[in-house]
Amino acid sequence: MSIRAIASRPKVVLLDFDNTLYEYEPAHEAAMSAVRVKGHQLVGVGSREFDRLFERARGEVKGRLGAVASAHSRLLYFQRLIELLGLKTQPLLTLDLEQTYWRSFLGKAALVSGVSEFLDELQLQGVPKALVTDLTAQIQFRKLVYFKLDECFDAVVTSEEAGTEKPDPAPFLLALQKLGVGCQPNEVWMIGDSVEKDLEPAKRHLGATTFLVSHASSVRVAPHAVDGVIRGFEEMTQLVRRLFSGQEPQGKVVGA
Amino acid sequence: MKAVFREPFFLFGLVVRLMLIGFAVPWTQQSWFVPFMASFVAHPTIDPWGEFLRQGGDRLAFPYGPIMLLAYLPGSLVGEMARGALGLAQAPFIGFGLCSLGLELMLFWAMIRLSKMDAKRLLVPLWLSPMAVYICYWHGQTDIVPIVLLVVSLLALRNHRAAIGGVLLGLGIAAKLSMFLSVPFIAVYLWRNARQRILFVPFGRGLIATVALSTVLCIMLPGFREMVLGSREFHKVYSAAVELGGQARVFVLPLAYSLVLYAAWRVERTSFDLFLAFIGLGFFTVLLLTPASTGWYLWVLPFVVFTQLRCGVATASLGAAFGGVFVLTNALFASGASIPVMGINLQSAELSAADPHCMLLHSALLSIQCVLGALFCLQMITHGVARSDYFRLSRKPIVVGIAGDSGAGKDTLASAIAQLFGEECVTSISGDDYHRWDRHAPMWRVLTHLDPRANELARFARDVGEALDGKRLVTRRYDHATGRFFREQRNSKNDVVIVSGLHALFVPAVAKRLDLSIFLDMAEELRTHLKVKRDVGERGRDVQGVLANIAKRQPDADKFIRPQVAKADIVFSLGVSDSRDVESCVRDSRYRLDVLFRNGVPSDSIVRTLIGLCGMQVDTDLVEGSGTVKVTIEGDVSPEDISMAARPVAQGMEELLAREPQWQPGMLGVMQFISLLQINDSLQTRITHVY
Repeated sequence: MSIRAIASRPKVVLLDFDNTLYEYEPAHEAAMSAVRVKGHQLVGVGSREFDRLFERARGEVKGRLGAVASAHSRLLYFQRLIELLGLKTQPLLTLDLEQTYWRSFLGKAALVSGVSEFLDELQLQGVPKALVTDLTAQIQFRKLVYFKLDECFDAVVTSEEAGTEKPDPAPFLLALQKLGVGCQPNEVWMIGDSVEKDLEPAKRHLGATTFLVSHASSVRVAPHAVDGVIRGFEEMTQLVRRLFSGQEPQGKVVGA
Repeated sequence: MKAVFREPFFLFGLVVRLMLIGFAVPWTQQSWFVPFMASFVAHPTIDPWGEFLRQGGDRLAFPYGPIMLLAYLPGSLVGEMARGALGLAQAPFIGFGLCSLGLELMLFWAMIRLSKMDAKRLLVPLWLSPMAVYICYWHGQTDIVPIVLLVVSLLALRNHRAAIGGVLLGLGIAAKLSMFLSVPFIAVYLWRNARQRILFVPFGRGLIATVALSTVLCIMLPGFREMVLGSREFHKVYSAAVELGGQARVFVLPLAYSLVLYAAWRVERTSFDLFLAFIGLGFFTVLLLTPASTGWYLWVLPFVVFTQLRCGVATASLGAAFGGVFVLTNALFASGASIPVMGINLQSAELSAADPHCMLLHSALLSIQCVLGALFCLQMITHGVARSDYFRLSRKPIVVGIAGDSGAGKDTLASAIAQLFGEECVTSISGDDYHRWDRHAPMWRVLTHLDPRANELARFARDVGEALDGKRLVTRRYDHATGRFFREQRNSKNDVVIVSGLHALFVPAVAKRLDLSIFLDMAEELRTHLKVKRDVGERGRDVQGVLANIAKRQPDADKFIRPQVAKADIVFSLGVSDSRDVESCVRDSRYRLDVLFRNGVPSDSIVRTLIGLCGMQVDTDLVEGSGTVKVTIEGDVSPEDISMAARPVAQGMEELLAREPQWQPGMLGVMQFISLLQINDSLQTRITHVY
């Protein structure tokens, strides 16, 4: 789906974070292998067993908590994993595994090409932008500082703060509220990697123009929910430049 | 990497290649390589060269080693089988071409890894290079094999896989002996860089073992001796010569090559980029000073591409023009290919250089090509050599000075900073070695160590100067255990010099040469606590006596040591979080670090990373009217977090730092981090200063 057909300027841009601004899978893989090594060193658990228990721990935590930010907490997963090993609760060991996870995660994670330039371009054109992301604020803020994106957003909404996760409308509406703008349909752009969690709800509740960030070579998308598919942010920068070039926005008196 | 396969430029290059592979029959392959490979496929033997000659084959057909044979074997095998089964005359050429394509893709991959650049940026200079397409698929040469092996070997070397790198280059040499031209440069690079020197032996071992196995064994085969070693290509070395009058001649190529090699040696510390530029120059001398075969031009391609990526549009265009003239010259004067399905035959050269009418054109084109090549070399030198930060740094080491009162932790900080750069690259000079008398001398009854008169500061300054010049140091060292001096000789290692001592910033001759000057302070309550603990607890003195001793030294400390704060770039002052309860703070390592940045606002990343990534509490204050910024840091931090925080700056300084910089936990780690950032800033200004 080409983004060339898009003709109206955004008033607000909302972005998802994980797997949208950086590719999640390689970072997660690197983090898990570092944690596996540590798990083996500290409690002698083999990697297959470790993976099995991690899946089980995650399943339990998610099942118990439902769609809230802490359901993604690696700290809780590792805590439960250690308990499943029959070791009772081990706060220090749990913290150690969690910190190892995020350090290795950030060490591998790299921004998708053109993200910073795109955000700069929006800044230049005076378009406010907000990050709408599931997960706890602590780790998301840390990621923002690590990627040097902490100055780039006018508002950040985490699901911890919103109380519910996407696709619930609450995080999206909170973001618009923080930006202090009311929006007509097509005035909001939503950029994310998940049709179901980012794009479909943004379309339904805000009437947003939606962009799917894809790291895979081919994607099949539901055409009604997705207006464009992008692989890097360079094309988005081009699009913004095109839309904002030429005449001044309507309603502004020129040279009077 | 995957994303690049969808790029239009990539697809265009791929289609062009596939078309050529599918339909073109290069003369070189039809007359030489394919018959040779066919003979080997039909009669597999240990001496394919001898077998081929016995069948009456052309002795020019395959002047290459066994690796070249292996590289093209899969395609030739399948191709010959397809010809037999389907009667498709083009099949062996398709098989041969697909092997080249596979190798080219491998080269593309290795170049992406080696340049650390986005794959897309390599598309135009490398993948769309007319030189590569022309040589591999129209002229039909096989030089891609040794070049892939050379580049992959360099990649392995950069990743510190020295033995594997040696083996790969050995294979490259086994494929084509001329790859040996790169060996002296690699040897110089490994030997002249203190950090890389440990790779020298494993690399050499891998290289020699591989060359020995693959080439020396082959030398016993008469066919190999005749076809490979008897190759006429070797004589080209002697083609450029200067008449000295009479019968005397000087061969230009060995002279030029030796000069380039000598230049590489003189640079002392080479960055990896610069090292690549030197290998490229080495190959260029051969191209420009011999009637080089068409395929040889592929040797310089990776190095041309590297220079193009690093330099501006002008240099990139110069490289492109060089490639363009090369293709034009060869399209006119070298053998080409035929396209049987279209009935086109361009196999034999359009023009002959021997034809008197064309001689002028040929010489003119060659001259243009030579001028462009020489200009490009010049760019390689100016960009790669002169503009390389390391070229400048190699003339001047990084110098860090650490001053402070005794017991402030100067030696601890000095060795922590040394661990970032790697002990093998650091010369440490300690002011303790310059006390005028040993501990047992009677003079200490009237002077303290803190008095400059009790120290041989002139000798101290002279030794620092000599260390900076990389001279051999003969120093008197102070043994803290016995309180006596002993004599020691050591070689200065020219990368980093760390000067620590009571008066490190006191001597102008030393202070002027420092890239970073640190004054190390300690909060009074912490210093007293530590001193009492050590002297009472370990040395059995009484508390009153120790306190009196501290008080007695104080005037000298105020008079001679403290004023050095004015000369420091940064002041570290270690204290505890709660000054009323020093004991428990020390026990629980609850320290506070005050950092004064005396020349204005510190790098933005210090504060943001300490808060954002290391989870520390940081306060920043502007000390009024002084231009000094005070940053107060509290909290604990692991070496892993410091290492992560330092990663961006460490990546920029990669070639100066140790392979695995050793980070310390807690405040010492924070001091390491801040010192490194300040050193980086200082290097940046040093570099911009030059321009």
